[in-house]
Amino acid sequence: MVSKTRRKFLKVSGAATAFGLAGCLQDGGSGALQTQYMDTPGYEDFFSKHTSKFEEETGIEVEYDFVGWGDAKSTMQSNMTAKSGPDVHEIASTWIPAQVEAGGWMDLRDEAAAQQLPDTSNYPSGALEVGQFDDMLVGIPWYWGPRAWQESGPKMDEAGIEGSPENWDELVSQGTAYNEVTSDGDYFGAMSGGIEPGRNFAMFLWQNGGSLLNEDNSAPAFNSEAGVEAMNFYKDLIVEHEIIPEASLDWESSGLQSAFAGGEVASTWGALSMTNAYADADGNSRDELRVSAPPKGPDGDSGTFFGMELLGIASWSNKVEEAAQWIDYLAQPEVNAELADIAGFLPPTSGGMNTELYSDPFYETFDEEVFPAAKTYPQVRGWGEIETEIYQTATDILNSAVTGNWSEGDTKSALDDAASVAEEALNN
Amino acid sequence: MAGSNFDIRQRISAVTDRVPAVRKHVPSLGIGDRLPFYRRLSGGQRFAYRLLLPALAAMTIVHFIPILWGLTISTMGVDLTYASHWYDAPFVGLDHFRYVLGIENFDDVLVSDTVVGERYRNALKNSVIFSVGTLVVTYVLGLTAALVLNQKFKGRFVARTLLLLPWVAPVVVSLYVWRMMFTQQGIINQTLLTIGLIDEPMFFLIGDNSMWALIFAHSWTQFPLVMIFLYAGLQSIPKQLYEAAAIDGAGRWGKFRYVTMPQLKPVSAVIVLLMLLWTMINYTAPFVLLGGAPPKQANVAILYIENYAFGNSQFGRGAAMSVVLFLIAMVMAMVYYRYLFDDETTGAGA
Repeated sequence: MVSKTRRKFLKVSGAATAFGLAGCLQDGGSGALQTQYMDTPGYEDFFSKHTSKFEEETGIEVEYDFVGWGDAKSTMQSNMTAKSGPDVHEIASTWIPAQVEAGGWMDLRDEAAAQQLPDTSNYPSGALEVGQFDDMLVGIPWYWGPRAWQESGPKMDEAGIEGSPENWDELVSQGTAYNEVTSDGDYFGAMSGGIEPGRNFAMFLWQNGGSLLNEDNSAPAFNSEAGVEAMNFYKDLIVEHEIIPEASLDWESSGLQSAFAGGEVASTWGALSMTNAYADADGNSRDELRVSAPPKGPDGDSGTFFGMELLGIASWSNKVEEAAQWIDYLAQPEVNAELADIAGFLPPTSGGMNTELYSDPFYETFDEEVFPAAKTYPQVRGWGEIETEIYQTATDILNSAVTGNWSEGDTKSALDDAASVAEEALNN
Repeated sequence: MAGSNFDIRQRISAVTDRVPAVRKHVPSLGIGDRLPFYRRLSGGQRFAYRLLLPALAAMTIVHFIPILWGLTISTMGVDLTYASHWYDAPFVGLDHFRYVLGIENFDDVLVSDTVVGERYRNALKNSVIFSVGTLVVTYVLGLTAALVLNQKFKGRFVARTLLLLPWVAPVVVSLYVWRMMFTQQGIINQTLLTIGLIDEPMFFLIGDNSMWALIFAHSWTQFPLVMIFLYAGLQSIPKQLYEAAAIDGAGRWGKFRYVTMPQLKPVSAVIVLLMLLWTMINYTAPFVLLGGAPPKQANVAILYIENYAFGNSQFGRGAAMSVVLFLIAMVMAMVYYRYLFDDETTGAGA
């Protein structure tokens, strides 16, 4: 009888211990600051080095984890639903409105965080605006990058093309001239498929004087005449002028990078990551690249898309001060520049741009010539749905065109359909 | 027939006679005695329910609760704002169903009133094409392979192993290989160009061909399972039936038509049901092959629902779409099962 009671006692204690341990682990049992970033080559080494350095300086232990771009949004949604997960996150600017609505981020102006965070006056107002929504400062800008026109000097010289295209007409005439002197499988320019057609469309739309939403962001405007023209121009670069290969619709961003780096395409619209991919390939050199603002549309605008990544603190974090200190550490010009360089983007502060890593005059073109024309998506409720709608619609139009299923009026009708979904998303 | 029923009864009673002895070892909290339904059951039936209890409990946690939760949130305005406290989301009744099915007003229910409804209907249609197409391809490939394996020839074991490979290989890896082969610069286009069947590369992953590519790649990973089912069915056909058919003058085709196919009917029925339902809710193949921006020609319901619900954080509407898909699959299964059951009881399946 005694042994049976003891056995029961042991069983119950074992179960309680297991539950307790599981609970501790769930709560980040080690007590370290939990952080999460997008999975990017080179991050592992960077964070291994800097978490050790940070711990030496402050005594705060930082654990890091990576999440793939494809899974990041749903992973964050799950964290926000459960109100648990890492304390510090890398935030993509376009997800901010929906995630603020979900109560996922804390306001970095709150006293506990603000005292430790970097001085926001060091940041350009445009960059800081991206991190704000609903009177909250959600994220500290970490790196950003506009898409520039990039072309391989040797390939263009070989084809006898002089100078980068200044506008859409020159883009078409240069592309046509290039095609005449090159063989099949050697393309003038390219844009990737995947989710990129939405951003590419936005770029052409801005260049054509249009906008995604109306002035007060209360209604869609991408289905305007300027939008239809921009989308048709994009489509025609592929099917009519054959400047962009049809095959590129099958390419993800990495496919485009390898095609550009491998010399399969002579030019593209890309951020610094494209430059790095080109320069890293065997036999290539960054000096061969010619970088400029994208060709202007009929409206004289070189509008291009820029993406920004920020660092934010989860609303459920109970280590706000430690999290703010870690963000402050990562925002130091040298550290920030090192990370931005690995990611293939630019640091958002002049301090970062003045570091040794960004001293090459090459970066000035990005900073001074391309940035002024760069725009990003509006920070508005329902944008996630609108963004999905735009890229699906742009993809459908391009797919229809290359498979011979497009006819006059289809672009307008598809953009109108997308606009009705966007309208509903804005008013929902 | 009566004799076989008698055997079964004998076997059942042989088990139930031992029930009291076994029952002593099955724990009871006396909960059942408080349930009127349970009180009316005989000892043997109660015992059967107790044995089913662990499986039912697991299914309740894994299946029934999520289904009920899905049904519940399909009537609530759950989006990212309410994701962490969904129970606070406003009740919207059947609004989500009307929106996702495009029936905002009842003028003409065949024409969708919303863009999302139009796309969802298209996705449902694609799911049906995907399911039926996969069934046809897997059945034809599986039956052919099973008939070949049922012959005696040297290397039969090796052939059987090789034919099982597509099913044994990790499905994501297989599908990624198909995806690479289907690209414009992939091996399929290169082969077709080389042998002169086409003049310029075709698109397999976008446009009208994308559904064929999806059906074929998915069938490739699934046909070995069908083959195993049918091979087992072929092995169980008595040889005497073929001998009798031969005496009646049946040739190869006659034996296949009047012996093999009718004898394979029960196993074929299972295959039809499983392949239709499994394909209708298959997410892996469409996602790996076509990704997050599938062409509308191959945007099947399960992929559309995931992209819509999680891409737009519209969980309530996504749940409504899932409920519709679930109902369609259930109705298909019930109709088919009823047909089968009727068929069996009238003796056609014997």
